[in-house]
Amino acid sequence: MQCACTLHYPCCCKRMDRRDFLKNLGVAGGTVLLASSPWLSAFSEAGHTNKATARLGIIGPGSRGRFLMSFLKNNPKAEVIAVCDIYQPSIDEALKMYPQAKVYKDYRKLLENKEIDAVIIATPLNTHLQIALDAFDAGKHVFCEKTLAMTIDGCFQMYQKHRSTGKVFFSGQQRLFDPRYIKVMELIHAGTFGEIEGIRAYWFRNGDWRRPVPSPELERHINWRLYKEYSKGLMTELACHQLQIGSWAMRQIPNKVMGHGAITYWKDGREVYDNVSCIYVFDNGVKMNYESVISNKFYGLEEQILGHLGTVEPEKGKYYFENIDPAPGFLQLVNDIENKLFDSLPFAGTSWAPETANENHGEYILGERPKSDGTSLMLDAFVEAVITGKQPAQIAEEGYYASVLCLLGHDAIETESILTFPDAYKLDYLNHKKVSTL
Amino acid sequence: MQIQHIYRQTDKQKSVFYAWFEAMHTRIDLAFCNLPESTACTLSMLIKDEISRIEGFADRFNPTSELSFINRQAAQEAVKVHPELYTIITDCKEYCQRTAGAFDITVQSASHSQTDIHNLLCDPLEQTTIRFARPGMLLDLCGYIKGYALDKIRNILESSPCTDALISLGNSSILAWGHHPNGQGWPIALPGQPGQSVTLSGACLTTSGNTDGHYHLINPQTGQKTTTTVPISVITRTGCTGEVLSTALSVCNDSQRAFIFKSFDKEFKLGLS
Repeated sequence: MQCACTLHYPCCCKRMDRRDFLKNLGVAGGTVLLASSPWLSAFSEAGHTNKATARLGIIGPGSRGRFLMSFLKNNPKAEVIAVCDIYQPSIDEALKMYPQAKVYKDYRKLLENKEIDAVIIATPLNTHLQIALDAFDAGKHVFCEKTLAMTIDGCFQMYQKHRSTGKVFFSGQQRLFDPRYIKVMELIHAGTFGEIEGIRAYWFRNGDWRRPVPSPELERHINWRLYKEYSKGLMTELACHQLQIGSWAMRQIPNKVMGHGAITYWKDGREVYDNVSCIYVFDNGVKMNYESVISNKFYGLEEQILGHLGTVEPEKGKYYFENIDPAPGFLQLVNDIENKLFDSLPFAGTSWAPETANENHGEYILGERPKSDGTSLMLDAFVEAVITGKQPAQIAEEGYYASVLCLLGHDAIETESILTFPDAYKLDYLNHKKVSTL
Repeated sequence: MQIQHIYRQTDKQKSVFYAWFEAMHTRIDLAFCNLPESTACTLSMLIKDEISRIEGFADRFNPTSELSFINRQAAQEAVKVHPELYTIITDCKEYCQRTAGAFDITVQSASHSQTDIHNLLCDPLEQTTIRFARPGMLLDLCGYIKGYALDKIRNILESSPCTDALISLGNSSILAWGHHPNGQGWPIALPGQPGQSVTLSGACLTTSGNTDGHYHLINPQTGQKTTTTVPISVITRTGCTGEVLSTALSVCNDSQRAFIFKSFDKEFKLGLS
């Protein structure tokens, strides 16, 4: 079989890095991609912002915060001018990356710095809300790591503050900027895999999820993910990323959820579950099953999107058709027609015979094994939005619903009941209509 | 039932529809331009049904097909055959003559000889009976039936609202109908000739040859499988002629080749740039 990358970028995607991928938005297939992933409009003015710089403050340069900083370091339009943390080792590590950054112990002082255009919040979950609200009030653009807040109401407050201040608002949903997800969502929305009949998302690990603690009094500070005061555990730290894939694929928000959680293996004093399972139900009856267990890693993580004509496994970067695969030459034809090209089509030959093997190995969405996720592009998009001051379409709403869905699932687990999406927290988005509170 | 397809609207008036499915032991690809999705789906299903109908009577590997019945019975008795299959068989017999025996649907017979085509008796009076003059005879339409199907698909397209389409039956039998939305005709790369292509409109491109070490072409003169790996492509108006010529030119000797060129004269072009 010929190169499967002809699905959209014949014979060139193997040489295409993520920036090249987005460069193509303006000239090839951009309209189609923006229909499925409208937040990519963040890059629409990238060619005119080359001389501008976004001055950023990092609130919480722990492991995740520094991971984000490592990408910013590669973006000449981004400058980290301040860092804030109460844990000195994190400050020390951050300064190795940005030695000139001003250091703060209190985020409110950092927010008083008028030179800072935007903040990146990568602190423990329980602190997100107040920091984000204060940052918006201080006139800063905000990138807040997921999950946005500890409660649905907190997420709603944060979203409303973004709306009332008009400041740029991103959350750390990097899959929204991952080229393989962007590409495959376009295909899903075009009906390539038929009607979506189910979604199975899971994240399996085998480990205690603990980090080394230098002294006992720092246990809750460092292993905050394990304690209910700081986190909701697997639902807020892992599921939040994956539930959003379901609503992106379905272009619907599920309105019902049921679930169960327990501590079944890691009975080490932690308070959050190490074994959770939820069923989210869309209005048309399609279900998204979510499962996370951290005492077996065999299946890893995936979001399996099940269409009646095919299956997508975006984490693997692959798709599989139920029956016979499409012809690469004809996929190139579709691509050529979309992109106003008129090239010769390389499919004529001696008679093609189906492979005798019964195994369906699928095809790579981008023609090759995935190399990385969308974190770099997500941060690039945030930097562009900070420079232009323009909020990319739907990015705030996607982040809001990703957080609310994982919290709704957590609430269903805690109450052991079937929960319906609360009207009070609906936005005018997809199948939801904002309900007036007057 | 919905057919597996991709539909892209490129602007208000323009679109491309691509459907694919398995039939005739290969993949069938259908691309239609500028049709509403529902119309394109209906057209695809019509074509799929037609291919299925043809495969139903002409597939020698299907024990319930009419051709299989002929292969089992015609050595014992004259077999009454549906007029459509009878016409196909008699046309193939005529093509054998026009190719000096290079195209021969009896080539898969046990102990095949060049005279076997004469042991295929098509009753000229009854018009629809077939009989084999010796046991072991076998009719194989694999090298013909895709071209026949392509001509039937052309008939369907002619009576449809579709003006621009590209049809491929297993990559080896292609019908280019109308024009690519972004240019004149349909540019198709020639197999085995890197960098070379032909632009077709209202024509078929048919390719024969051995693939990836799988030698399936049999020379009717010698009864041996040919070992050439150079594909032969021909451009014809009809799919049937394309199948006959691409097969015949893949196995013929020099004198047969000269005869074929004279016999078919203006009916084809070799797929050479």
